[in-house]
Amino acid sequence: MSSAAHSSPHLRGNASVARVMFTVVLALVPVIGVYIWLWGSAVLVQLALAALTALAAEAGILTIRKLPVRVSLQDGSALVTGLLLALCLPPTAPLWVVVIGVFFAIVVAKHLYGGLGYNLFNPAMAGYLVVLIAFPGELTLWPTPDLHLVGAESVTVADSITMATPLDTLRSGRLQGNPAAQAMAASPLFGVFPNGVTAILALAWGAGGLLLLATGTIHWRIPVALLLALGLFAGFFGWLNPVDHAGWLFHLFSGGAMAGAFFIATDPVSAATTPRGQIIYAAGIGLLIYLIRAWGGYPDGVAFAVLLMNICAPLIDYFTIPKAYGE
Amino acid sequence: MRVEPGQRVLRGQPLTESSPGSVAVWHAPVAGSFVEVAEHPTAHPSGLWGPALVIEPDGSEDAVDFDPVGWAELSLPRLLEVVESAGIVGLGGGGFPAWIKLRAGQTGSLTTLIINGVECEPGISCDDMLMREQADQVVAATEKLATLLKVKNAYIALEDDCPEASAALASSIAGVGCQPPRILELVSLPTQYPSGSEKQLIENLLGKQVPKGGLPADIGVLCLNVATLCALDDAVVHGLPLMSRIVTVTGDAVARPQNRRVLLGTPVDDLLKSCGGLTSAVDDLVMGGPMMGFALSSPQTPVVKISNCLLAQAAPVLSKRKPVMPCIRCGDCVDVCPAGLLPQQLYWFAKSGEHDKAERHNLFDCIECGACAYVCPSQLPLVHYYRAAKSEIRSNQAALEKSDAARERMLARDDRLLRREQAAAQRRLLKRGGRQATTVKVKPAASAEVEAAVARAKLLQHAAQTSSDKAPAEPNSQNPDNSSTKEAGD
Repeated sequence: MSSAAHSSPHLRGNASVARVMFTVVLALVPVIGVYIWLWGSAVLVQLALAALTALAAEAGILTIRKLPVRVSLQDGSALVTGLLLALCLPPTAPLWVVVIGVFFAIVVAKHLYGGLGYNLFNPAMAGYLVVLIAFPGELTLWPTPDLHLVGAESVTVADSITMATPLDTLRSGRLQGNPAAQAMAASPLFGVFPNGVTAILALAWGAGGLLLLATGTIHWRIPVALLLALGLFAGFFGWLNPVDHAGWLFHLFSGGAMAGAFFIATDPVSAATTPRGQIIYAAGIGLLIYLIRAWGGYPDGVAFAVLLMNICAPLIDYFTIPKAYGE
Repeated sequence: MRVEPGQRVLRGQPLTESSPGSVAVWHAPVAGSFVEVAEHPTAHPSGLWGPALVIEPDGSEDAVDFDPVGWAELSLPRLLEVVESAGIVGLGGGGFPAWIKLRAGQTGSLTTLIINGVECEPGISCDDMLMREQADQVVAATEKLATLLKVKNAYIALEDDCPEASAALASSIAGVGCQPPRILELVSLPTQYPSGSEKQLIENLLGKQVPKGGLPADIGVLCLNVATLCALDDAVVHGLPLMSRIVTVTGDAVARPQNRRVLLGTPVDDLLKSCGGLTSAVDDLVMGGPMMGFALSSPQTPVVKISNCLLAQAAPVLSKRKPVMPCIRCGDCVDVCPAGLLPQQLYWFAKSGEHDKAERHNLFDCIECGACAYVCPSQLPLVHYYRAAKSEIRSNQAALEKSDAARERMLARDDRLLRREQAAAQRRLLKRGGRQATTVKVKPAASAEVEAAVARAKLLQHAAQTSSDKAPAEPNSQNPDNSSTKEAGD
């Protein structure tokens, strides 16, 4: 028996940061599967490069900061950042773009702000925005998937290698009064337009999100509040002005809405942390996504919305301290 | 002390006095010779040694004459006397004197009696065992006490993983029945730590919270542990003082884990031997449960009234620590906190010494149940941080009070000296008989008095501000600022 008495609690659970992070990686499997199905196994090269860059950057910066390298690499947080960022990029994005984005995410957005647990901004989104703003040409066009696989033969556009995303089409279509954009907006799911692809992707993100919910890795508050806010605003404006605005279904199932709701906004480090605060935080993201999509300069606004609300998180926490027992 | 060293004591003989505050009487659990008062390991988290009464048992069953009162003759004030002289305290682990708790009955505002059979921590089963073995006593005593306290509702609460106890109690209730219009209900609650805690149990059972800083009696509730109830019943029906309790001896290093009725004062070592001893090395012997129990400094520590459990977990299981990672603010701790706090924020403030924010986030409502630390994926020793912050805040406050008191003393002294000087001056003047001079001389003294009064008022205002500001500003609390004192002294 030791002379120095340990104090309670003597019992500890099995939870670990690594378990949390690797559950997130596991939840990405459906999305990665759909990526491979749509665009071929070359996607894996991009993902592997992103993962390797993330781990190498993490190891490097930890060494410079004189922090233990192995424990931190094993926690899986860098891996998650790398994979999430890579999945935001079009499969045709040049590999150097991937490297720059991930490097910025890990070194600047994560470690220069203090490392795991201290970073103000979501690292993956910060890295993504840096490359999006720096290399817009490489990042806005997505390759046309092999639609025979999807089973929508009528829409194959033989001579194109890249296509605009539905949100791009909606944006430019609305600006030009294009009836095709309106047709797309009217039939968002699995319709004749290839945005069925994004709906499938959205479903894959949603499936991964359900896994995160089922395993208790994330709480329902953030995804539900985000999707609800986005859906409500999209529904309201779609009802108000159906010519210029797509409906709520379209907005929920296109672009990064699902990914953002389940995988990005739920990053606990940069999100609000009080129960009420999380709802406000996520609803704010939902609103901002809609504002940026509808009136902003970019077709999709998930990354911007998340970073903007990241800034607000400490303030939200400050004003949403829950009542203690008996108060 | 009611006994002298060398004296023979009988079973049940009171050894100490009950103090008006909260110290319970101790009774000899065995007949034998009272040897001495000696320094001995105590059952306290500090692990310190303290005075203990040592009795050498002589193996006889000689007991004092127990003088039972019986429920029929009992009034509430008489019950309080009986409970106090029987040395009964909360046996759930809290150790709060039961007679003080029962005083709530005198206000006549009680509506609900809750008998708490919910174990306070995972792995403990002493209450479960008691309810299985003494179900009739539990039910009868609940009924009698409810009648005496004139409450409308009585509940016996237990966890849903105690089917035997539940069945035993149910059949007893069916046998005894209850006096309408009062209801006597057996309530089975989900097994979820820390629902055995009084406030959490009340919330789970009644959907009401005990007001912050208040007592269950404020919402008309009296909550007694089931073992406390049985001890009370023994005292009333048989006149027996508290001499033994049921202890859960458990942990995977114990050869034969079991519940035992143990005489108070039995060294833990002997208790373990009676359970087959230890099969492997342990880091700590823990008294109480795995979540809130404390490590003993010696196996010679005696079993005391609050010892609901003795835990001997094989070394690797109990103290295995994964690497501590930074807090990722996942909020799992928020979901399990029974006090409705934000443990992740409290950790942050405790770590960075932001005591004002910690208090604003209700640090002192933390009951140190350890649920947050249990679920923490970063394996942070959260409760340890909270304890450290609490004690730091308390000592800061004590230092502040001390410096305030010093300041007041100083001012009083200045006042006194000034008055003395004035009186002396006046006497001198009177001796000279210069009436004219007196008024002239006194004036500056009076204005000095006014000045002193103004300075005092300022200081009081300042003190009021700092104390109403709950958490004193950093520099103030750490190095009591006495510049204003100096000013006033000048």
